[in-house]
Amino acid sequence: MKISRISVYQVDLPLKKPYWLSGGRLKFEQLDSTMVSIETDAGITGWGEGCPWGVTYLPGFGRGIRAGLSELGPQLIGLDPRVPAQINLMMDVALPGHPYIKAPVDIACWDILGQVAGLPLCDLLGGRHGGPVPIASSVSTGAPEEMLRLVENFREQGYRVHSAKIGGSDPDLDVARIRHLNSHQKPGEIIFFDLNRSWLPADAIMVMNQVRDLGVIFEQPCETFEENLKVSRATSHAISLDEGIKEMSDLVRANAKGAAEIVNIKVSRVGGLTKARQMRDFCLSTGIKCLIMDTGGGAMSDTMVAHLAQSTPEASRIAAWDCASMVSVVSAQGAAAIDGHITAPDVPGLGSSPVMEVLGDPVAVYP
Amino acid sequence: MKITRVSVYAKRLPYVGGTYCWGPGNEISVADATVIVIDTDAGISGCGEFTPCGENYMIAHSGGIRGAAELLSKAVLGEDPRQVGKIERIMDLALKQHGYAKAPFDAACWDILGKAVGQPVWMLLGGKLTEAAPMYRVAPQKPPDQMVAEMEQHRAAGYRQFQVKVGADWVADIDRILATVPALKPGETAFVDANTGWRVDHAIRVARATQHLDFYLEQPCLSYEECLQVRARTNLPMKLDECVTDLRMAERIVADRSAEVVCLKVSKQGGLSKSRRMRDYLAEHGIPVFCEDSWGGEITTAAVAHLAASTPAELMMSSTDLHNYNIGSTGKPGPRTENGCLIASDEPGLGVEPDFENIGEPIAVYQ
Repeated sequence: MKISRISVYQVDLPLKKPYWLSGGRLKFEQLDSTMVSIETDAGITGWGEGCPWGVTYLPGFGRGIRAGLSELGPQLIGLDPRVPAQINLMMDVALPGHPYIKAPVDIACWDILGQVAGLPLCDLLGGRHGGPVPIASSVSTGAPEEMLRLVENFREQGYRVHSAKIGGSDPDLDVARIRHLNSHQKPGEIIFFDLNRSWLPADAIMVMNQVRDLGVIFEQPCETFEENLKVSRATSHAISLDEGIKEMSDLVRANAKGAAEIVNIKVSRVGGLTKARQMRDFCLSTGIKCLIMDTGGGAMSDTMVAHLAQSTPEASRIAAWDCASMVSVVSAQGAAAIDGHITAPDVPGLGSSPVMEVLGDPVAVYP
Repeated sequence: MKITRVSVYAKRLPYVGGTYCWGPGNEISVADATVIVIDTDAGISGCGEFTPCGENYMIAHSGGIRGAAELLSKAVLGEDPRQVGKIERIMDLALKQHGYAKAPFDAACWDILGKAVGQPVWMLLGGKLTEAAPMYRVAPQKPPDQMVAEMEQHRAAGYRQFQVKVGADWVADIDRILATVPALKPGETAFVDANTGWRVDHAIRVARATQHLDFYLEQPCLSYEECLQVRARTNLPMKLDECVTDLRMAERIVADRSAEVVCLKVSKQGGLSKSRRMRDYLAEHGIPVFCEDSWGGEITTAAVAHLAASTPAELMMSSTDLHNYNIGSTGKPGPRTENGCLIASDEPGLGVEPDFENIGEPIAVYQ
């Protein structure tokens, strides 16, 4: 089987509400998604979506994906998409780094492999574990009362894991947010606090030690590996690393140094399902718990995330993520958030199809 | 002073020697240069250039910079280009990583700052600590006797430092080293550069077979960890390049004492501002540097020359006149070369203007 054609589509995904991250430093209103179809000489087509969360959150931007695909696209023609590992090797040699460019290609190859095998991706990635996967809600930064209102809204919809975004220049406010949300937490709920790198170690240690009596999780407190390690050693809470884990060597190092108890694997950030799966399996081997997410997108990205999350044993997975419910354009059909949970579809391959009227004409076709 | 316009130019630069082979089976015969020109409301303009060594040499590709240029231009329009530290932060906030795309913007701002204060960039980077930076010449991967002959030609032209390219065939590479290194004259230096191409065990076997010779082993393997593993098994001094991406890596190298020489490539490090900080940090720890770039014409080489000129002479190991590798030019004049040394301009700014006749019309303009 050979790749015969690659088509690249660009879709704007406006967020229903503007979104602030990282102590209010970063604001997001619209996402730039790239959806890629890979056609084969066997008549099977695979799809993948790459949608960075804006351009300021992580290294990655929509135009960069499409620029990279103009380099990789012609080199992919004629290769066998059923062997994603080989596709990844080729891509890594042809274009070092830039995992966000490679992710949609890798995902589309998995879609093809699943269709060929007649199995849903979750089965190929480890098997279907448990039922609906909890989705971590995204609780935007605000005053403690506002944030609790958001948590309560999500709770009413069935969410039981909440990622509360805090951080900024007011440590007392952060302590207040943490205590307020934690004191209103319901049994069986997890509320974790996501700093998105906005603290310096001094702030992190001060705030975290002030709430040392609480069993809460902090995610990516600081910018660098060394800073987070310093914080981890000076405090007692479980730490989740997110932005800092870009590739396997980061994960190996984090495990060797005891820098994280949880890793947030965002598939596009690490370069696709092949690499994400490798990292997820390393976490299973080393007792690190996982959050399985992506950087953004519509139902196509959400469905892909659902498969990787569904294939992660329940004891090791905390939550998945969905983005389609945050955007006002429907770019694809697929798995959807239902009562704060998402389930990997039970059809061969990815199980997500684009809404072609929304995608329009491709912005590029290779060859 | 405010930035009023950013113009992006594309220029193809054929390699004077036909085809240049490096590392594990890579070739370049025509390089894709991107020139950035920044205009201001004060009538002063600055220029910068990024040219990758093929699209897969390091984490950088020409499509990537053209994709990022729109984002970066919008971020810096209206800002004061003389405040290079502020511009650097604005760009890092606008787009994560992608330092190679930021490098020409950074260079153009240093160019403007230099012109605004009437000083060459070397003065602003610390002064002229190196009058004339010694240059090396490359002996590309070829049969050993051809490589020896090429080195003889370079010697006749006044060069005393040679970079022997290996990395595609470790067995033949042993012969390359055994042929070229013993042919060195007293006072000459050889760097055997695998450009990441060897597997760890093969690198160890090459080092064992050649350990009686006196040369520097350069970037034998892809990752820092693999190079560390090789280093543990050889007495050869180590030079690291491709894995030295940022200041964090320089810090690790100092902490681990894992390299005797570090190669700084202005675009790889993300521009002059970041390169300068790494150079200063390494100099503080007594680690000599190569000052160069991935590839480029006159504008790239001008920036390189200023970094080299401002490096302490005893730590300024080698540089190279990239503009002389090409047919065609991006700017004029190129930095002067004399007796195998690169000399930075004493004119205000970078001392180079874009060669508008050669680079043609801009492919994009942002204002």
